Amino acid sequence: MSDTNLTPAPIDWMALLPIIGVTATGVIAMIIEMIRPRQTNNAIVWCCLIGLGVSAYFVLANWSRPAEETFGGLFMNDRFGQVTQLLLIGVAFITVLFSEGYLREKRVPFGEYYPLVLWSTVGGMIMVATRDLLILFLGLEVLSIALYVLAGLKSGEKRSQEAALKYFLLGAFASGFMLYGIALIYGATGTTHVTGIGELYALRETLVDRYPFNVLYAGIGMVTVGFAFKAALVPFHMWTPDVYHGAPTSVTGFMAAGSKIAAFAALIRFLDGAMDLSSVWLPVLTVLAVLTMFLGNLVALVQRDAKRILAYSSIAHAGYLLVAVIAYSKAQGMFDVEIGYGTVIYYLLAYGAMTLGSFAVLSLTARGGREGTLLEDFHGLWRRAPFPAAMMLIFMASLAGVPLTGGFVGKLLIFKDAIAVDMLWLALVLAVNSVISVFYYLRIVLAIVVREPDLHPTRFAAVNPGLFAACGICGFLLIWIAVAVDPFMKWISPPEQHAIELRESPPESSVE
Amino acid sequence: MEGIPLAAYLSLGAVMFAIGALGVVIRRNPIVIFMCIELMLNAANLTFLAFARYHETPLSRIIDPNDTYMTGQMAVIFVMAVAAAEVAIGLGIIMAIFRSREEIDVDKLNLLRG
Amino acid sequence: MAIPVDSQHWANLIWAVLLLPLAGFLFQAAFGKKITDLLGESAGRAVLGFMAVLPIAAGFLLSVIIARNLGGLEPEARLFITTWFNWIDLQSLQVPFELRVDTLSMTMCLIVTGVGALIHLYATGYMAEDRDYPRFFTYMNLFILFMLLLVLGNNLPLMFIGWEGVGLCSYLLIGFWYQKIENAKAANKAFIVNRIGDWGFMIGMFLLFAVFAASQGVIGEGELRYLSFDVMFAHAQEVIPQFGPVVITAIPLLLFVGAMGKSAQFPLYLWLPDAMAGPTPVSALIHAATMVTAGVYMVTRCHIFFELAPVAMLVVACVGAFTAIFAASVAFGQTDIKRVLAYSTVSQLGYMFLACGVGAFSTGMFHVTTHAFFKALLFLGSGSVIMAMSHDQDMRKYGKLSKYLPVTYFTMLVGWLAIAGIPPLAGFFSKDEILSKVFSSGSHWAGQWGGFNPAVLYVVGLVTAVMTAAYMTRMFYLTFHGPEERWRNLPVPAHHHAHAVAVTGEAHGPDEHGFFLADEEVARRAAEEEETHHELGPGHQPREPGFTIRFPLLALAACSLLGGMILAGLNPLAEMFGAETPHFFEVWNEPSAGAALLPAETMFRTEHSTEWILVGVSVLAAVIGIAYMRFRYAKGLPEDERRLRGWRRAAGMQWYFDAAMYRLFVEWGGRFSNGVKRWFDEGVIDGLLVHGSAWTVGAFGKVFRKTETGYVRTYAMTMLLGSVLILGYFIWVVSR
Repeated sequence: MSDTNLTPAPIDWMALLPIIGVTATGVIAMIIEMIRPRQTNNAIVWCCLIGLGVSAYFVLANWSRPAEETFGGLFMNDRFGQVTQLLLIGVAFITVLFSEGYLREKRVPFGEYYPLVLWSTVGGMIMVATRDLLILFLGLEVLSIALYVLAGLKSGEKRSQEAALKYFLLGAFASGFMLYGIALIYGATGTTHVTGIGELYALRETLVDRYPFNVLYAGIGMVTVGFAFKAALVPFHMWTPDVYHGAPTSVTGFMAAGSKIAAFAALIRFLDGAMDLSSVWLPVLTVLAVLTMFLGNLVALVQRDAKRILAYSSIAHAGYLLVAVIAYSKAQGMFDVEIGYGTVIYYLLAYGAMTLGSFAVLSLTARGGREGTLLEDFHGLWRRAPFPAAMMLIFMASLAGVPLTGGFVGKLLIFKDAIAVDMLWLALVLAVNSVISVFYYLRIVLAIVVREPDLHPTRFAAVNPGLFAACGICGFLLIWIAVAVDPFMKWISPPEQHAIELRESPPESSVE
Repeated sequence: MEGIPLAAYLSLGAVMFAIGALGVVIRRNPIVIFMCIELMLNAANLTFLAFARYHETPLSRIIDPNDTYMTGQMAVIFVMAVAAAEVAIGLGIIMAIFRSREEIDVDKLNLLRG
Repeated sequence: MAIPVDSQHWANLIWAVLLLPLAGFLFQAAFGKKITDLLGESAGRAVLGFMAVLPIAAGFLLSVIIARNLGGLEPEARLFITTWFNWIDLQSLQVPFELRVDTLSMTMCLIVTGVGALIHLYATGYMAEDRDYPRFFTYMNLFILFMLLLVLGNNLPLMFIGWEGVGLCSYLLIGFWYQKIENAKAANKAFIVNRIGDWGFMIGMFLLFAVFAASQGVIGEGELRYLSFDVMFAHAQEVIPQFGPVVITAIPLLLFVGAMGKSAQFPLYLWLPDAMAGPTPVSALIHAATMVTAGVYMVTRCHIFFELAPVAMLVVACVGAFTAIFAASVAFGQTDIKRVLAYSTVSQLGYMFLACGVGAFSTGMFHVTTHAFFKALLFLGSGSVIMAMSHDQDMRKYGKLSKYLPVTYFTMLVGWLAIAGIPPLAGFFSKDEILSKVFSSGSHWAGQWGGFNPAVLYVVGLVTAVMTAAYMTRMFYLTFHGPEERWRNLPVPAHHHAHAVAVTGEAHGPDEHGFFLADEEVARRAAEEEETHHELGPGHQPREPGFTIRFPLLALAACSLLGGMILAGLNPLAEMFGAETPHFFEVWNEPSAGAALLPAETMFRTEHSTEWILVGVSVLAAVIGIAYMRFRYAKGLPEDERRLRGWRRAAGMQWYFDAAMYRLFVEWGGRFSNGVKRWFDEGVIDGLLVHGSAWTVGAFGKVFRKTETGYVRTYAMTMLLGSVLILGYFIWVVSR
């Protein structure tokens, strides 16, 4: 919190550099397209890749700084934010890497595509690096508005248009809830910073008669709705299958991985602030988690379209992630259990890699402006494109939680956390669900590996080096994090001396 | 203005929000739906402003009251900017659909389902 | 406790045993097609076949060396754990990639590599004509790899990888001839039924995980490795009872559900007979000798959890005994030679669980071993017969084959007598030992099992022994003996299209779940199949197959003939004469499979005279079964075999169990929910469990799917309702 309202807070350029880097890359990409309209997009792709690499370097340059809030409390510079920013940059990197061939085959205009992907990433990076609800909302909107456009980028295609409109209307609707919720929290606490929630709760004894409980709780409920929409939790998930289905496949991959990472990271920040109230919202989230896992998996079973299967699978994975978040939050209130955010990050990374990778493989069916995403359209992919098909096996194995993949270790970690906080039944629900999910992942595997193409085989796009590299990176990551769990967890966890103080509060507010 | 209690503004905001939310569910023209969403955003704006003007936070020992006022007013500017961006995008999407279909009834947009 | 192994120790050879099949698998997968292209079809196949057998045979030799070294140690020292790297390494949990070298795992390892090498050799001959030769050996080597991982892994996650891996290979190999739709169906059935078992196994595993995670403090040293078997077993006795009787019983029962699925116990046996659709070497290796015994192995490996719960032991024993007699009865109604053997496998697996259920785990393993010998022999022999008879598997068309197939005849003779339990062949020793231990432990269990009289188990086992001898005699005489060569009476096969039509015309299975081929593909395959298909006709002249098939038969016949005597150290015979000769196999397995908590010393003790009587009774049982059936079948095909009637017809249909399940869950259920769920008949596989679970889950999916209407306003409405509920909840909390 700032000293007075007259002195502007000092600008911490260092912390801001990654965000500036990605934004500037987007601007440069747009300028390149302006200079050389409708020509090859190789220059843009290289510019984006280099820009993202540089931004990642900027994140690492901040790596050893102590965790602190800058910009008068608007920006949180800590390991959690840095790691999630890196994840988002990585997601954008891989999306840019594999979309070139897809955009060409699908005849999607690429001039808008790359800058929008980058700016959407910027929105996500803002979301994960702030503990101020208003800035969080701003980041969310930057993320979403770019995605609305991206979803409808194939403007001649009815499905793409429909996806964009649905996403836009429902997204704006959810934003309304979130914003109203923020307004109520602001009303109750006088600040939009998440710590305000906890501080107000701490004062409940001294303010018995004029304690604005109801306003605060209503606000938290409404903000939860906003998060639940973004993270695709049941019953706020309904846009997900349609939008994932209708949007261009590379956008779907980016949306599924990027916006979920941002949403869950921001959710953790928010819940950290509201930690003292966890007895109130934990039951809500638990119900949402159970619903999400079951609905996602059950409906995925009866789908025939590979993109929809993966859309429902991503809903189910949101449920698993929510279990991890719940375990993390619950452990903060327990004295004898210590659970860091490591599990959530680990699963977000695994989820991001397997989702992006599998959508990259799915994008191979686009050819000559058309795209078939039914399971039948993937028959014989094994023959045409052995490497992506082999990587797809890894992605599916990981999504299904087969041992020796990141997905398995991630589920194991969540399982362990859930048991540690005495929620064995929730862990069992997760286990049962991951068994159900094997069936539909197997269908994709069978479609790709076992079954022969029909009489009129789908024509697959040629595998371009970008896609090859993207699949390879994702596949390698999934195996690598499964083997090197411990180094990875150490790498992402906060350095001991600057561990995030979860309920950090200014010294004068320390309440008896 | 002093004569009107805070509760009046909050109630007006709540009613606007509810009307907006119901409108989203009831109306079939995407432009009208979007107007209803604008109504919801403006309800939030009104709430922000009312709180900023009236409210004395119980946390005033911790938080500078000036900050409180400023946050609410700043929020409104933010939201207006965001809403403007949404209008631009939303109308663009709706226009694109209108051009290819000649009608914009959201109930006729259900190619994607199941 | 486990002895840490330094890098020079001979126990590290076990890694080579594990990595050899991996190398073989990679070689086949990477170069299979290239080598046949390069060297030509026949030379390429010779090289590939050699390269497929080599790693398994080498693995066997290495295993022999390890086992010999292990045998040279003191019994307590016969356990080594060798770790490669820390697979999962967290603050509170370590799961190393570690292998366990002890007598139990080496027993299984020797069976898997030894029998596996012989069957691989056999398969080079059997599959010589197959167009997917490299693919076959790719799967087979992969199977050996996973099977070894299953038996050697020293912690539950590793074992589970192996467990799932062998299931996958089994699925791939059952459906190997995927041109035929029934193979694909069988593969699916196997997959789905096994998933049900795996649910049990997984939940049991998670329960163990939870129990040990919660008691880390109690464990002390090695507390991070609490999923490793050595740590688990060492502390099971102090940790598990703290969680009360429900957990004590639930853990072994859930594990046993997993074993039931993999080892085909009633009611999860449904998949195994259908799995015979795969190539015969697969039936011999996976569905008789090794994979299906994984359940028995797992129960034996985790025996301490079972010993803690007498109720679970009762369940294991009863399920085993019932499966044994049930499957034996079904075998009488089978006319397909491989299906007779399949039900006999189910029945013998029942015997093994019966032994485990009364606490004689090492005896169960003994039967696993001898069964691996004689059942692999019988399957390979039947494969040789099937090859000689143009792939027609109906025994009623055989007869007098001893004249044409002398080697097959004599080797199968050994197998037949061995499974029937005629001394001194292998099957006699293990089966007699199971029966005698069931009998002698009766007094111990009578007190533990409440009102249940353990003598019932002995009687069931004995009756099953009579039945086993009988149906195997039927099979043997129908195939090899009799006055006439019955295929000579068959009509001359018209070169017809009926076959192709039959394949295509069939409903194309549960495409609902996306498992099968498209119609056009099926038609194309069927047409291809027809070109190469030979029909059995009167002019057919059976011929003995070549060396690669005869050698494994002879080797396995030698094992079936002598294996029992050698492993048992002739003990039952010697003991009758008062000598206390140690039972070699039991002594060998004592450190790893001997009862940990049960009073094994006293509970199986019997008088010598009783022992005599028991041996006599079981030999008598075998002789009665053989004599009666020989009398019936020596004269040729009895009239009632042409169309099975009466009880045998019912038995042949698994006492209508399969059909009842089908009707109960598919037909009646379908009628019940007609109209609403027209999709019911879209995706019909047969069998309850297949349907039951797939149906319920699918139904939910369908219902929820309906909520996704595609209308924005519905979505907005749902969101609004959701937020009202959430807000309502929060407000309720405030007002409370």
